Amino acid sequence: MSSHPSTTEEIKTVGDLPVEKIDKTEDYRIYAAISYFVILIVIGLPLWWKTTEVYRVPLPYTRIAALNESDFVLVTNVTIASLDIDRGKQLASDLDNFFKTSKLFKVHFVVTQVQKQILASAQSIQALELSSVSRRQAGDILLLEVPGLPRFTPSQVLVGRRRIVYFATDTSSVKLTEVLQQWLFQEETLQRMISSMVSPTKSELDLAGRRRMPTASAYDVMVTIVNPDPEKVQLNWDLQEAIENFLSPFLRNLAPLADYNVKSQWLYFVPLQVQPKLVPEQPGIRKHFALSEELLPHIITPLEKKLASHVSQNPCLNFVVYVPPCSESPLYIYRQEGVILRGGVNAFLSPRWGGIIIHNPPQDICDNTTVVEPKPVEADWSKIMGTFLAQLRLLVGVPELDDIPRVSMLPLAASGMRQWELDSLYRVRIMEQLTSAMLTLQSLSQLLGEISNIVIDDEVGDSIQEAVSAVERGIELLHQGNLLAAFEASKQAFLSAEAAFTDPSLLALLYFPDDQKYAVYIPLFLPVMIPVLMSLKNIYLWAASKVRHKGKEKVD
Amino acid sequence: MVCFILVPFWILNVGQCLVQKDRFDEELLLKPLPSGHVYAYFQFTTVWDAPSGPQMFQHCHLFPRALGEVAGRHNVQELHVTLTEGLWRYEYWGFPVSDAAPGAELWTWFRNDTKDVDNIWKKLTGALSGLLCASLNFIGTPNSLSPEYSFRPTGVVKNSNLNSSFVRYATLPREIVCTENLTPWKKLLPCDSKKGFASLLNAGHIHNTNYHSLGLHIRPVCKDAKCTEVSIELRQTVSLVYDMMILGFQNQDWSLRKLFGLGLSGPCPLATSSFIYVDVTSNETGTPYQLQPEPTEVITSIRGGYESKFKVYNIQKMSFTHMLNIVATYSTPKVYAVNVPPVLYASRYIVGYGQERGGIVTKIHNNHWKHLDIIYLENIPWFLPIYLHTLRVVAGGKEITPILKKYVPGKERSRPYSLEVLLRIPARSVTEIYIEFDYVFLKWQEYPPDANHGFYIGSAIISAYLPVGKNYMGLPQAGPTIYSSFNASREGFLLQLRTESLIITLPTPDFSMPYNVICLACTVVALAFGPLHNITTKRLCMKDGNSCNGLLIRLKSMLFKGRKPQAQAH
Repeated sequence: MSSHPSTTEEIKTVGDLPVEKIDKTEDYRIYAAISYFVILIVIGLPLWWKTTEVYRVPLPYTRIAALNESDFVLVTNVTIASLDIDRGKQLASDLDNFFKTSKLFKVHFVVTQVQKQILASAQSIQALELSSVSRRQAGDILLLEVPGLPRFTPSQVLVGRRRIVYFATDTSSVKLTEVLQQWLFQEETLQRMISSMVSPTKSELDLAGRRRMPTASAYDVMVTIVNPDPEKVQLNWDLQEAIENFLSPFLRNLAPLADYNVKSQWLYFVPLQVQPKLVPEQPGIRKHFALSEELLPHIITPLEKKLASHVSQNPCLNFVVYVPPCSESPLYIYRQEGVILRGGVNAFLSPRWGGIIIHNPPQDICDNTTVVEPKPVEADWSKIMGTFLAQLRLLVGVPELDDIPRVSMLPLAASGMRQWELDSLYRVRIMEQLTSAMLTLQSLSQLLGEISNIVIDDEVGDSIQEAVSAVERGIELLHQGNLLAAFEASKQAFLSAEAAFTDPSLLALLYFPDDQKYAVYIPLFLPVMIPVLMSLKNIYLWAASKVRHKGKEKVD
Repeated sequence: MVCFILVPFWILNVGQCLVQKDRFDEELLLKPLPSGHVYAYFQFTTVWDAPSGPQMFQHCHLFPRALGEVAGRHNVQELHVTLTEGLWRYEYWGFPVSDAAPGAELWTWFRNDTKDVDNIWKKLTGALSGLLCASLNFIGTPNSLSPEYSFRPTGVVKNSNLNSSFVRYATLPREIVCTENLTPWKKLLPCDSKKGFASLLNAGHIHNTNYHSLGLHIRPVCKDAKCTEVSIELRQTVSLVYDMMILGFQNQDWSLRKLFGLGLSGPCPLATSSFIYVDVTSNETGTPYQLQPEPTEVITSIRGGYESKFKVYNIQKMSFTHMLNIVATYSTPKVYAVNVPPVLYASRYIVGYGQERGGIVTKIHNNHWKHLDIIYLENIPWFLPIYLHTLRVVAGGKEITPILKKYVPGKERSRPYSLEVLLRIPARSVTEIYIEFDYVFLKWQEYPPDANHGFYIGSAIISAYLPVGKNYMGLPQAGPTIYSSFNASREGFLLQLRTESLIITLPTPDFSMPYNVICLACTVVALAFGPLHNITTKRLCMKDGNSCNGLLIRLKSMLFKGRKPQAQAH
């Protein structure tokens, strides 16, 4: 303004022009000022704002926020089959009382009467397992009273391979609750998993949770045979066949939960990074080498270099067979000073990583000097693969259960999984995936609120929508007690939420700094906007004078 | 293409492992070059009767799993990667066993059923880049060619109609090869670098050479003579050229210890065969040298009419009480003869001045007594538009018309210029291939930082089928090992020469310019807007001389401006 001092002076009448004409041109001038204002500020500014805006698809923020309120409840049907219907009803009401306090489980008890001849005709528990009674929907449980249970087992309660719990007539409801809570439902584990996900700083996972691999849609299983000295030991093993015979049937069982790709490799000249301690020959003890359990993590480090994959993004479960040469065998893992690892199983498990087994060459081959080096060593596949299967069960999330007095379970079948174990694995995965999807969505919506530069394109928007509705659908299906469908929904929710959160397009404009924007805009906007904004005052004064003029005319 | 009959010489050897369907061979070829350099060529060959199918690379024994997974996932039929530092001097050194362009070079044949080759190619280069710690991830469609004639599959092909849309070729001439590439490369060997010939590969004694090149070559080969089934062959190669004089040894004598820093402690126990060959052909004509210890065998190989002599050390049959050190000593100081260049070699340079137009000249020397048919492949990046009409081929002052030309014009930022010329070059001549190009401006983010070499242009490739075996050391198509190249006379010998890579400087603008332009343009707009706004919204008027004079009154009027209209309204 100061650059035009002559125009700062207010309007004055000029002798030559008539007053009306002056007023008229004055009006035009004001109209011009108004039109500048309208074009630049009313139209231009929003247009600029709109065109330079970060693209963002409208998102269901309220639904995402509402997910927090919704409760994950696992509805489970438990059928109590008793010979005496009244006793069954009594049991059901007792059990119902116990489960009322449960936060995660909502158990519906149904009481039926069981025909005596069905039980009487069964020669063994195995026969009952195979009978028509045993077919249950996934997630459901049958509590079956078997009067003659002591005929088959010393235990009071016997948990089958399918979804049946057999109990003797004199079993108390407390014992049954204990079995359901600790073995079949594993509510404690579920609860700890959820709370550790929601507030990781406050609570920790339990042992089973720490061992279990984090959820993913596919896993790689890699079996590695390490021969540190092929000059001394020759392994002529058909690894591929062993995998096909032992691991594949078990993994086929797990196929509905996730895909498992089995790979194998041989590594040579990969030594132990640690030096095992020589235990000299003593009366009763042969000469051997000792590897302390505390040193075991150091074994994994040199192996890691050769275990990584350059193409697969799936989490990998590693199983390693280490065959020490004769000069360093037998090699045993020591739990503490002087205590060999339990059960003579020369193996250890590394949580969320895999397992290692040490396969010592047989002593007679090592001692036999007529056998020339490299000495052929045969594989004890049932021992090696048996150990791997046990470790694999823990890694995929089937926990070791605490003993309950006078309760036992039928031994594992060849498939390596009990149906109720699979059900509880489903529950763990559903809970994990739903919680994870919910947390991911919430952190994404929080992030979007905080950082304005994040782009959400149509594809990511669709993923988010998909994830939200899948979480809602999952919760709904859990209420209906449909475990398998709920698992599918939770998997969908988890994958969509992860895909949305990790989409690279989110970061497209994140590093476009604000100061660059201003450096470009200010040279234009500042000199143009100041006169336009200053003219607002003139417009206001003119409008005010008009109003007053009119008021005066009216008064006149 | 034809199925090549593979008669492996090891068929008589009973395999070490019966269950494992793979074998591993290690070889080292040592050759004193006429220029006084020593050429060392390592080759590690793994042949694996892999089960075909989707699970092909899932279960590996000697074959490196990391590489197998990459090849399996990306539907690779053939894969050739070389990482090279330095330039192979054909004129003085003859032909190498396997050629490589300076920097990184990668070419791949994908299987016929591959969909979306460009996308898979990008993923493959990304995976290989992680595997070899090289910047291969910078290879994508904008710098890859699909040559029609120059790169044919080297291995077995199921059906003979080849579609060049499944081949991709790219180079990164700027790539610098160093220890970080050697270490992952060694990790792919079954014995790692703990045993066998790979223990000779120590970074300190590799990176002081005049030329070193790492190679990885995967191809399908015939499993047996009938060729009903296919095996996978992996060839890992290292080519090294040492200059004994600049290494500070004062004389031409060389030994394993001088070259590699230590002797050999023994063969890799997993290898089916371990051989060291020393080329002693030059003993007949030039200054002779003696070898210590005595070799286990001497082989005379006649190939394409030329005789060469090799002393062979069968490492598996030798006893190792201490480290093996093969020593070559010259009884008299070496006399350098006049250099006899090989049959075919080439050189390339840039011509022109200024920052507008330039030209590339490639000189191809034919020393053969007969004309030669060659394929010339030019690989020009998109930022250097070439003009096909300026292509001139001149030999001895006479212009030659190419037999065939295949030109794929480049597209900015999406496709390089690819030119394949089939030529018949006359006997004993120097042929000059000349083509013009423009220097162009790039987008501001495409320029490298101020301190840069310039822009690299990859080597041209000259492929020829040589009728004579002079200086030729390449492997025959059927056999993977050096051993199989002895006495392997063929009608012709496939040779692929790589020329020098070039560096140009593109015109570089002043990078503060865009901001200056924005500021200037905005200021002009703002300056234009101010008066325009004033003229249309305000009126210039005369002032009464007495109404406002003096600073005080003016200030007053400015301060109490609001009251004036009130006064005027009356």
